[in-house]
Amino acid sequence: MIDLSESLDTFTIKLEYEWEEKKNQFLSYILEGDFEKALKFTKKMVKKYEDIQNFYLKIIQPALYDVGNLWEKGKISVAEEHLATSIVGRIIANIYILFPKTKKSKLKAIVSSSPNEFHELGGRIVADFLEIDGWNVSYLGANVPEQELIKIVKKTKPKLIALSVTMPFNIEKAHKVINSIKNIESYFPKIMVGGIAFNIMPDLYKKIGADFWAKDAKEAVEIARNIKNS
Amino acid sequence: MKELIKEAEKKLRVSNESAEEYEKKKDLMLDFVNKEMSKRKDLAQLIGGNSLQMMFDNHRNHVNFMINVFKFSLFEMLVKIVPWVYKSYYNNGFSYDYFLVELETWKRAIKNFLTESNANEIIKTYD
Repeated sequence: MIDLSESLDTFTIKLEYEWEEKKNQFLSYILEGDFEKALKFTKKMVKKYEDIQNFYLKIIQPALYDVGNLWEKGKISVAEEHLATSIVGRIIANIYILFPKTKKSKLKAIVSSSPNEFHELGGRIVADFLEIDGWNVSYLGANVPEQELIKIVKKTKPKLIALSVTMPFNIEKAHKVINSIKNIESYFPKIMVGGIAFNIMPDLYKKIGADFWAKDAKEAVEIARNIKNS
Repeated sequence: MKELIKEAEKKLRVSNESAEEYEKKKDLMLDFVNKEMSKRKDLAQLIGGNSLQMMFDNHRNHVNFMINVFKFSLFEMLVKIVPWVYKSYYNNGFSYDYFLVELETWKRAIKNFLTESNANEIIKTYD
């Protein structure tokens, strides 16, 4: 295992040159902790609705993977990693303002991180994508306790529940949540999971009782569209 | 890596009973491992000047991860994740010896707190 660790590839997203360059520029701003520069760059890149998806998938997500990789390589500290991530959170909040305020669908979705899961930006991106696509989304954020999650599910009865798991040690917690949801009487939502834990083992979602696995936010929207139309 | 995954999936089967006992005794084992590791005179070298809390977090993550591995037979995940953990912690100051010592301590914890047959089954994964 130690030998394997020395030759291990990192989780990266391969981009075309033009996007790679832009992503690196954004990455440098968030690593410097410079929110103003990152926001200015974002506003230049995201001028209309159509730009949002590319910005999330080709700038934000790969930049966040790079931040994680830099910590893994010992190039940045935990504090610097958290600073960069929190700036991205603020950027995403600013992008949200640019969303077209279309009439929301009656179809409800809940997007949440699993209990004990403190990574939340992946779920946040999925929530924003679903909202752009017309879903009425409740985004619950990180580390939502199982009982609280079940309470809000029972109260709002969404058609779709999307659970995000980054750290593999939280899979069992997601499994428990899914079981509890499936035990709610006369209620049959679709449950989708996503996050690095599932990307490592694509069949895993079946073992924990989820209906779908989405490898990224774009795929999550495609799956959600099929659910909407079913 | 593919061969290792195949081998792990073939050889490392853990019964529900063993997996459940491992989960039930996790706090006892975690406490034991934390205390035993904290007592070591070479700890500073092993964890490379990092905080004890970082080591304790790693132990907690370890036991929670292994619960998932045993419960869902995630041996593919185990083979993919463990080298990543080693690499990340090594790059952040932990020595490779830390992992060898830590795993031996987990094995002692398993032997101390689990019934013999369940311990024997679980320890195969640690070997």
